[in-house]
Amino acid sequence: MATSQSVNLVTLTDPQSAVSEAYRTLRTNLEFTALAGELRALVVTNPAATEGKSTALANLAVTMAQGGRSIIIVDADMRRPAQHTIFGVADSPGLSNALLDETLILNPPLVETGVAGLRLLPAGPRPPNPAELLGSPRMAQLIESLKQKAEIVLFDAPPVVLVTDAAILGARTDGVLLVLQAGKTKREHAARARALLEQVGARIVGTALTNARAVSDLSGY
Amino acid sequence: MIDLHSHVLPGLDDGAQDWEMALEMMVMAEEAGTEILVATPHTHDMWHGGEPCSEVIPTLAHEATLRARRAGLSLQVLPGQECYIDDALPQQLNEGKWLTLGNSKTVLLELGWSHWPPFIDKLVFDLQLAGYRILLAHPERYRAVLDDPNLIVGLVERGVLTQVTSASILGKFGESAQETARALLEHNLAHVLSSDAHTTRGRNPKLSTAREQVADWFGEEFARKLVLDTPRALLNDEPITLPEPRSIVRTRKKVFGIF
Repeated sequence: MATSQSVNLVTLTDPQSAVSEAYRTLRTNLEFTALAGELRALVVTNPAATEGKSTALANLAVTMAQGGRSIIIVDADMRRPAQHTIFGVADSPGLSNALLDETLILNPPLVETGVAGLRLLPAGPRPPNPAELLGSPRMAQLIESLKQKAEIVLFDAPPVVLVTDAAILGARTDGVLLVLQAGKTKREHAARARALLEQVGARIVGTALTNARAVSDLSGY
Repeated sequence: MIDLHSHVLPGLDDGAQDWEMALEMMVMAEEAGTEILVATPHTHDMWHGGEPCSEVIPTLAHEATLRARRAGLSLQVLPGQECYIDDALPQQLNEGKWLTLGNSKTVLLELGWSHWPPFIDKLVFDLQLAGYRILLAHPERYRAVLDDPNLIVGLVERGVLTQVTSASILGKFGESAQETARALLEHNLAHVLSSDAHTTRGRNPKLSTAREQVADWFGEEFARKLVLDTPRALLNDEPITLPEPRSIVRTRKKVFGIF
């Protein structure tokens, strides 16, 4: 189902905006975090279902690519995939295909996003057992394979509090970035998400707050 | 119009009994404005050996088109099948045991009447992995869907398209099937209108009346998509942009029927 590129990619449509500047700050902070240990496979998720983590992830990826890095987004939210819609490409073939076809582990069906240096592995057909697939040995192989193909691999994962997918992925990657939405994310959900991730040994590298009210316009600075 | 679901080929299932009836059905279809009629014999009527479907059905579909020509019709009959739910479907389709619609990647899938299949999500996934697109036949006629039409939401979210039957739209299967068909259309849960023609009476191939009814409800453009644009895109394996499916919120049974 192809649609035109989403207006949610503010980092692409309006790179001078305060929001884009915020994403650049996020990128820089993550780069400094990376100095303390490898940070090449990063999960981006949210506590519950309303915090706009897919849009945040896409903007972060664009910002990283604009900074000259080679990036792959993996839409590992095989329950409600959104990355293909954000970038206006087909949702299949994708991750689920790669996890069930040995020949695709080394050559997963990556698609160009139209942003230089940024490629996407869409979700693929929706499996009945996404958590099981993400926990499979094949997924570990695929993560390694993707790290050979890009400097940073970003995984879009379903909400932590609702399903186990993000925790499973978090334990197999270098870190998790939690996206919280100002005024929407509930305190107890955020705390629960943190507990669930720590339980499986996932490393929370930070939280990003979206929808925060801009306090000033720095464009004249 | 393009009619993706019919039992026009004689002697294969519970559809046309002989060529005479098949020809009457083809005349009726063309007079109603149908240009392409896909013949979709039931797989479950063809379990029992004999010649393989992959030979019998294309041969008969070709003969039907020739007979239509001889009778002065321009109708084209394409081979297809209505595939009864089976966990081995992906493999059977790959082996050519059963046919897709007009050699496209679209499988016309039929479920059992009474029970919602617990493994449907798995089957849909397996078919999609194998590269097939799924068109679910007449959701409005399954008991489970009449009880809970929102069973279809999850399937549509997974990329399944559904086909409502003209006789349901016209109320020939009762008020409940008609209301459900209309609700499915209204909530972006049905995408194709076909005749599922078995005969020249009851479930006949005259698609135009139901199309007009749908146009009355939701407009001419909406109706045209169901009988032309979407069927054509399916036959040509073209991408289709579908509107976001919505859940059906049922209001209480009306106490005073006229309001």
